[in-house]
Amino acid sequence: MADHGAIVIAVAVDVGGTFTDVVAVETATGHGHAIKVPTTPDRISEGVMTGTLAALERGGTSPASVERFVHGTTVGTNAVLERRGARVGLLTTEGFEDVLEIGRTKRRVLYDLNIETQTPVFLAPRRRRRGVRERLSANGTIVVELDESHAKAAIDNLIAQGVEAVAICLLHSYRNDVHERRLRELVLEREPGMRVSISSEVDPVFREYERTVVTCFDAYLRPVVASYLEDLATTLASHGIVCPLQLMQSRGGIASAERGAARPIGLLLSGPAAGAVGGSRAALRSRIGDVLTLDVGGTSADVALVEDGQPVVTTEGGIEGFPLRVPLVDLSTIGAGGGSIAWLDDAGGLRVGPRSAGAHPGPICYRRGGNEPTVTDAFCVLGYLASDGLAGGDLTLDLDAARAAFDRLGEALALGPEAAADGVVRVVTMRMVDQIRLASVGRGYDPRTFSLVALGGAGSLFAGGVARELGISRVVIPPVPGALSALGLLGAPVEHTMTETVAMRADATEPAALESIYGALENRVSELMALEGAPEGDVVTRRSADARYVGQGSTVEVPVAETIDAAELAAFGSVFHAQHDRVHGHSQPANPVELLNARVVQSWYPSQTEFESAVAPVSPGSERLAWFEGGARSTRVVDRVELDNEQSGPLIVRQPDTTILVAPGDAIGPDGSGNLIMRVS
Amino acid sequence: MSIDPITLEVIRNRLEAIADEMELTLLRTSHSPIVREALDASAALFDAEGRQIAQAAAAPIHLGMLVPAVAALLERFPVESMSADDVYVLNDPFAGGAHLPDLVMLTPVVVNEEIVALSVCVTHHQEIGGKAPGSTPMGATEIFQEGLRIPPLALYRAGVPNQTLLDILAANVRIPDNVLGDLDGQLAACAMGRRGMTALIERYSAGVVRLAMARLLDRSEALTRVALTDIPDGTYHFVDWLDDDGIDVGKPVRIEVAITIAGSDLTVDLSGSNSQVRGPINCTPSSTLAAVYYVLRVVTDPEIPTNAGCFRPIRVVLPERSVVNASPPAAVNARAVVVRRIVDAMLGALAPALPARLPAASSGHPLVLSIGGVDPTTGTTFVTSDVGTGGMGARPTADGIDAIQTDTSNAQNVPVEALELDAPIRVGWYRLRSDSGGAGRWRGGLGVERSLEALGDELRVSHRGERHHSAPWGLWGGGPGASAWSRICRANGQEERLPSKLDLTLASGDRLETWTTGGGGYGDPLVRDPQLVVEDVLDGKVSLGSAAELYGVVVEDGYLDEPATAALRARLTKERDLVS
Repeated sequence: MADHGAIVIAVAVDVGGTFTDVVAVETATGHGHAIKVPTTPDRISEGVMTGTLAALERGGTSPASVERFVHGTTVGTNAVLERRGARVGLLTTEGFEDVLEIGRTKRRVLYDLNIETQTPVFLAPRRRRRGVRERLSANGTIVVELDESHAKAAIDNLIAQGVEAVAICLLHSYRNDVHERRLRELVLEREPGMRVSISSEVDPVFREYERTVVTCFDAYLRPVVASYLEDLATTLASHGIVCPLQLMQSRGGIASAERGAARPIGLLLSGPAAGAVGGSRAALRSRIGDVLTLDVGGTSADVALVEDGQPVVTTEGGIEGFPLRVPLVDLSTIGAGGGSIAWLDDAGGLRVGPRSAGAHPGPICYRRGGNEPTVTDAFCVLGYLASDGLAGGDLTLDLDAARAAFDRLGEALALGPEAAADGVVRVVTMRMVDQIRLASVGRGYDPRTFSLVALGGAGSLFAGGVARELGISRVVIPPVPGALSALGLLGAPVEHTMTETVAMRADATEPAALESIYGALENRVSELMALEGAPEGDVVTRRSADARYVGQGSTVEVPVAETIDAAELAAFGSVFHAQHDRVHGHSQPANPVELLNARVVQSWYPSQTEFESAVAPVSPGSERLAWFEGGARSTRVVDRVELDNEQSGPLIVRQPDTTILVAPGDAIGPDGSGNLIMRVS
Repeated sequence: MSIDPITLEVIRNRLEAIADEMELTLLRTSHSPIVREALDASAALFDAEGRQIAQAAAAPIHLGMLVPAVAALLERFPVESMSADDVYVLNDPFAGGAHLPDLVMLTPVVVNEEIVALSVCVTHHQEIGGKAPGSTPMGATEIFQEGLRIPPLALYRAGVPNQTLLDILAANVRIPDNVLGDLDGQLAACAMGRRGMTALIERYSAGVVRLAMARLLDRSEALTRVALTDIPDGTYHFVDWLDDDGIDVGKPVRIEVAITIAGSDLTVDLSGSNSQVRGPINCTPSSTLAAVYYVLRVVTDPEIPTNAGCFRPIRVVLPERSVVNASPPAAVNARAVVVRRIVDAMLGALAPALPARLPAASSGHPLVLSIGGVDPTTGTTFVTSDVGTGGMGARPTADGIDAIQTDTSNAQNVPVEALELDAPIRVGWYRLRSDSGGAGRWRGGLGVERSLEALGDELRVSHRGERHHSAPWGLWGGGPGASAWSRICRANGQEERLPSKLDLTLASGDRLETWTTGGGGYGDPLVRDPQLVVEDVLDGKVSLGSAAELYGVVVEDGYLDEPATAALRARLTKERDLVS
């Protein structure tokens, strides 16, 4: 605990694939500094420490004053992408050892014969999958008792193969976990200290393949996450930072490192979640609750939908096409960003992406050997980026080379270079628009009632055009769009959740029975929240159910009352019909409704830390030609710090981490919250 | 009027996104295992002349099948006669449909009283009546036994439902709530397509959208022609066989194909194929074309946007009253087996022309089951299905994938936990079938073995298998994949080996045990990297015996015995040379 009256600092660190973003904020005043350093893939903690020390130094404070350290990490994602997870052994019900490999038997593309195995066999190849004799029925009663001597032989076999973690997934265990728990005991008796993941804890929901995959990923990540967190804690401590470590989970809430390490699967998509949370928190400062966040990076763009300040969460996400049935911030990704390459197909048609020049060789204008025209090069040709370009002038852009490439592309399309560049930007813009439509209209939301939040280095260049096409009239540009993920960490709630498959018909359920299920779930979640130190009175509880018409496959999430009585249960049906109609465009009020999964989420917002960064000036105001809607316009270029009242486009606003494009007819200005608001016509 | 390349690409992306939105609605709202688990539904957009512009197909068997269906609907209800809020349906295989469970729905996109496009979808309904639950009776010999036959009809006229048709439909199916629920899902999908197209037309004008659609057709044709010129000119023949039609058991059914490539034109001649059969495996053109179109998409560039333009370079010759072009009243519900064999025959024909690209034969229609009855614990009627899998054929540079949908099929399996929740069935095992992949330098994928135990009496099962009497062929020295087989183990201990296609009834305690085909091997197994054989042995995918006999690889205690392997391979090579 720091001395009374001393400066107290909150640090947030977001580790991305290329850069590590660090924000250090004085909690009392909100004054702080954002730093970007290269990620150090061989030992992540090095980059984290370098950035943290630099941010503290810039603020003139010491490591000892850090009282809160929140962290978003791609360590899980990277372990999966690089296949560096644990050597996992899998125990299954005998006869079902191949569930992980057979999967759902479907292929993701239809006409390509050169596909890879479509299931994550790498998690546990066949020799490390062992069946045990036991069987439950579909309602969870024991059909065959667990044969312990048979099970021990299977465990011995896995241990002999040198497994570092064990995953256990038995049929119907979401209904009855008795055999899975006993198996875990047997594993730990045989090998104390072995890391074990059991499916009835990780994802107690029906459909065995999806549950097996999630459980295996959990086991696969367990040692990696544990040793990473250990290393990080040691490194921080050796520099004098000894406060508890908190982690961003894939669903957009934070948890203590201890709780996070106990359920590593929940950290797998920690990084992208922080962006959506950051966007939602920034918009709330302007008192805007319903937003779409658009995070545009070099190779891809992520879109998330935020309703009433809460990022929408899904359990139908995935990684590398493998299903990941845990709550995740519902991100849609488009394979198009600043580095996407424009090309012509054999019939002379213009295509953009999915190939990207990435950071190396990068766009032509970066002078790093790239020779194919990219979206960033198009921005150069259109006059949106100047030669002193990006990242506060660290990189000078080769505008002539970019233009020459678009001369060639334009010639093939019978267009001038600017028209070709404008076209490339338009194609990418429209793909983002299509994706946002799928993510909003496709789920029953009308995008016109949302605001757009621009994130990432290139989000502010696209946001106006995307908003116009969607009929969105307001764009929010936070103070530091490029470091918003890190800021999101500071604003996120501490959160825990539990889900259980109940499969009860709403019209044949005793209210008391359902109430006791929710009560029990709530108790389990409350225990976790208590371990986080959340004061009971400050915890917000939300109950919901995944519901469906009897016989349907997919579900719709419907809120459930705080206490369930006959009247509430009767009302549940009508709420479901309305929700089904909104999401799918039709409902069948005469048909029976089933509550498939019961869910409880609890959140607690620790004292809020608002970021009041002074944005560094980039360059004095100037004027240049930029291309809009088929013509060159004389366009003012201003520094964000100079923008103190609303101004009309055409206008280019610059700041160190991004460039904001304001088209003719649109206007931009500060709203007093630190955000800029762009009004789109 | 003209259209710039930028707008063209923007409209193309939008059309595909609209089709995807429609497809998502179909799948997400479905009430049937066959749709929600097996993904047997597709959505498409057509122009007002009935040309397919964009399609979101979950399975290629729907590829092109909507083309004859839309043509039949337009013939009966010309575009000029349509008005906004009309909805049309059909399922009649002899009027553009495929088989009776596949119900095609069409609604016009009307902007300023002008029809610019058609929003179309198809869903495989779990039930459409007829003699067996699930409407896929293996014993059918006439279409009249297969369910309710719906010719081109209006389901809605100017927003007013055709209650007569809905009542007849509800009265003729075993699970009307389910069927009408899925029909609602189709209506929602068509409406979504109509909304999306209307917004697109309002944004760009009907003229520009019409022009864009015409250009996109031309572009896909041009890209397809470029790819076809890469295939050496010539005529390529192949003959493959089906076990039988399920009625005349043991009488093989012939599929013969001659493919002629001349520049960028392709002719597929199926003359020489079997005349139409009594059993329910006959195809009408919409099914046969799905096979032909699938092969075309595979041998050209998979990245080409799929629309009717892709298929302009094709000419198809279909003999009358044959198993690939049947006449009424042929039974057709199991036509997918012939579709799969047409694909096998076409890929087999083209393999010599494209040796570096085409694989050995894949599983060639693994077992499909429809199961129905009354659940003894709840007293409710249930119908469920499962589309089985087998191994993928080995490829020129890789093994075939184990247990995966291939060719025109792309269904998901039904999870064991879902099957046991939905039906009085207990699954005994569901696992890879060792030693079923064809041996080769690249190994064929493995098939699957499974056991289903009935927990109640009178469980009626339609068992639609194939390749019990033939095998997925290997290529360039690769061996065949294992054939399929099935048996019933009765509760009293009796065992019955089953023919590939039959309707059967299980009583409580009876077990149905099934083994599906592996894929064929590619190249000489004696030159397969021995370490890969060791890995397969360690994983139990290849037995020690097969490793030695087929691959000449000796494995000792999990490790490669190099000298013994070299000696054995030398001996086997010599023996083989003596035989040939």
